[in-house]
Amino acid sequence: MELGAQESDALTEIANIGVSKAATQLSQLLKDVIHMEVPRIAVVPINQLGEVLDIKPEEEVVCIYQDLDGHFNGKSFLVFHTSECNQLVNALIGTIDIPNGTEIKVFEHEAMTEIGNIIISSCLSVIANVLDVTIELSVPNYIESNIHDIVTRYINVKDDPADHLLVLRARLTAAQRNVSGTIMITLSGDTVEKMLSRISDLTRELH
Amino acid sequence: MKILLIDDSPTSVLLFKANMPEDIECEIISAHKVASAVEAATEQDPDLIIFDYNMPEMNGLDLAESLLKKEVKAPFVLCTANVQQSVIDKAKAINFKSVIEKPVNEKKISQLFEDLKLWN
Repeated sequence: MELGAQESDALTEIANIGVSKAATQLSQLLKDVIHMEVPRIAVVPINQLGEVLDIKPEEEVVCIYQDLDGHFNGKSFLVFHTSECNQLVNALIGTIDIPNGTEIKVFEHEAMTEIGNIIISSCLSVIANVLDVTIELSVPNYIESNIHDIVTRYINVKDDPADHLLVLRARLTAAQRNVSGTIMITLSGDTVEKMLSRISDLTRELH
Repeated sequence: MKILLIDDSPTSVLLFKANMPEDIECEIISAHKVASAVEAATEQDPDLIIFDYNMPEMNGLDLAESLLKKEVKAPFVLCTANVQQSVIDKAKAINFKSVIEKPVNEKKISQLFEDLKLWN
């Protein structure tokens, strides 16, 4: 799978629309200004996926992921450094009384899962609406591990490690809290072709 | 007024309650699973039912359809970050009154209650 400049630009723009929406929702959740970097696109073999992320392979992270199905197949991840999760959860639920008998750790996991669900769903929803397709999202899954393990266990499971994936990723940073997360969407080769074909159809309709 | 919130995420329910405008008096009951949602909807006579969409056992729209078959009469509202047009179209088709996009805030909930006056 190779992308030309025009294809790469089209996918970056679609990712930009999705991540901008995610940044808006995260801003509402945290009541903070969210800085967003321009999404980056990379075509990588599955077994080298960890290398394109800005996170060291052995570094502990918290990751919320959802499977994508329907018109497009792939996975979407929201990754935070473990050390930043407390700040994030405090920002979200700091003023809320946690029900008696609830374990803090369980509550933190649940809160992180809900943050991930909102960010990933909002990002993918706007992409689906722009492209006029339906993307089915699984329920969110919470993982604490290192990025190498996550890539190995959650992306390689059914796929050939030599296959190439398109990775769309962007970093979102909460200005006042110095908390940042990476949103990453991995798409299989046939899904990328479908997405490009859909973009091409829509562009023709506009002209 | 009694509101039934159906959402598998306790955090989501807490955020809804925390953003409830002070001038709105209501009782909020919640259900995190299908069985307890059906029980609450059919036995506690809520005035409004708010559904999450993406839940493990069944999505919110399918659950709403099953409640309609049980002749639950309360108006339905969808509360989700998954605002794909296909989801909204299906919600409208089964007579959902409104869709609130997550994350909720006081303004969105106030607007919901303003709209609710028009439905009654």
